Amino acid sequence: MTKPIQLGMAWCGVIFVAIFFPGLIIAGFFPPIPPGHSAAEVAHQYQQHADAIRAGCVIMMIAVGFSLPFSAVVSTQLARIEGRWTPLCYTQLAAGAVGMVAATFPLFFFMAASFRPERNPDVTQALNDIGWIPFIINWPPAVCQAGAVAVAVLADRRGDPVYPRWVGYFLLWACVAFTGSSLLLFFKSGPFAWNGLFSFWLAATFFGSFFLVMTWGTIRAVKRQFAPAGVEADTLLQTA
Amino acid sequence: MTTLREAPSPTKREGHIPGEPGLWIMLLGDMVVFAVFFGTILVLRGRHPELILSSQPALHQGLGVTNTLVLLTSSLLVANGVRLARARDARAPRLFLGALACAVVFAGIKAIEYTDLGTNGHSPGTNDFFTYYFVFTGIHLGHVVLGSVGLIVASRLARSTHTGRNRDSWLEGIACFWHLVDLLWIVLFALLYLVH
Repeated sequence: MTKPIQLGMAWCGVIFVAIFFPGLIIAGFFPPIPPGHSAAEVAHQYQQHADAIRAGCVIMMIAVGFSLPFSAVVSTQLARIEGRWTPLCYTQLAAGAVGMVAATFPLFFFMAASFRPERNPDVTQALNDIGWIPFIINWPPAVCQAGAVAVAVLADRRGDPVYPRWVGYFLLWACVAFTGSSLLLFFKSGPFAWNGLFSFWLAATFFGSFFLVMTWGTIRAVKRQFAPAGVEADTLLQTA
Repeated sequence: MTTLREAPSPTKREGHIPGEPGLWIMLLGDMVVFAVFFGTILVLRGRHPELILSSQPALHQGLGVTNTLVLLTSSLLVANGVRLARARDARAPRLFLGALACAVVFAGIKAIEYTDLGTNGHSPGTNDFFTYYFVFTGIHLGHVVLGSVGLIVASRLARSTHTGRNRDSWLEGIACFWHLVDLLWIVLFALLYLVH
């Protein structure tokens, strides 16, 4: 695969973050609609800001599309680390693909909620719940993705590793932080609720930084792959 | 990273980072997350001091103190284990297994505490204090489990016959993680059991 294509796919990681978070803000979902809101309050928010929510959701949907080429180029670089047999590369790619669905599917419920905001408030509240709960709680794809990259980075045996080793440790740290949303079903307010410090703010910060750090690391890895020393190292690994 | 792969020289030792530099992103990062936990407890204490005063007596200070001593002992064993392993002393693996035994005792005492609180009608849903108590000590217990896996690995690496690459660096990294587990417990213990 050629260098410009890989670099373009790596930049998709930053583009994803740069489009997704503004979409979240435009929809008025940053900070999230509080889980403690009554049906009437939730319905009121959808009625007052229907067009902003619709636009924000479409923007986020477009943004998520950029995460897929990004996951694919990360897997390409993981395959360089792993050599002939590439279980971590597959795990990362599959998790990235499932992660795209995990990020998109809740948007459809937000879209449906904003489509007829004048309906019975209880229905709008239920749609809002079906959106927010999976949107925030569904961390396994992110942990599989970050975890697979972390293991590959830390297992890299080259003298000049494909990714810097601190990236591996950073991703392990991020994996721990992603799991903070597990308790959100039990709370309607406080730090564990879906708009809380541990469920939302910590996870959102790490989710964003995961893509930014990996974009930086992947651009660096691609550039080094096509430098003379990198080509030689790959050839040596393939013949070994 | 590269300094660790080269043969150790006296000048290199001066700037030695235990484990490897990248590991400290995870260790310090974990400390930041726990610092946020500690801050959350302090905010609760500032807003609802009466809640702390009424809930705290349900906790067993004696068991908390015992667990603190158990973890401090384990840290001492781990530190000495690393020292002996560097000297290729055959007793090193036993010290890591001793620390592992401490971890098992810690988890056992924690289980007794949880059961005791549960039978007395205190659960994570009782109030904010018990939510934080169960969730934060539970997350800490998760660290103890991870660290225990590390201690098992360490006891194998510490065998004087072991000649793996980066052996000392791995041992130091596992030891640093274990000290972190100890350190986080001490602060958690003070904030949950002692501070009024």
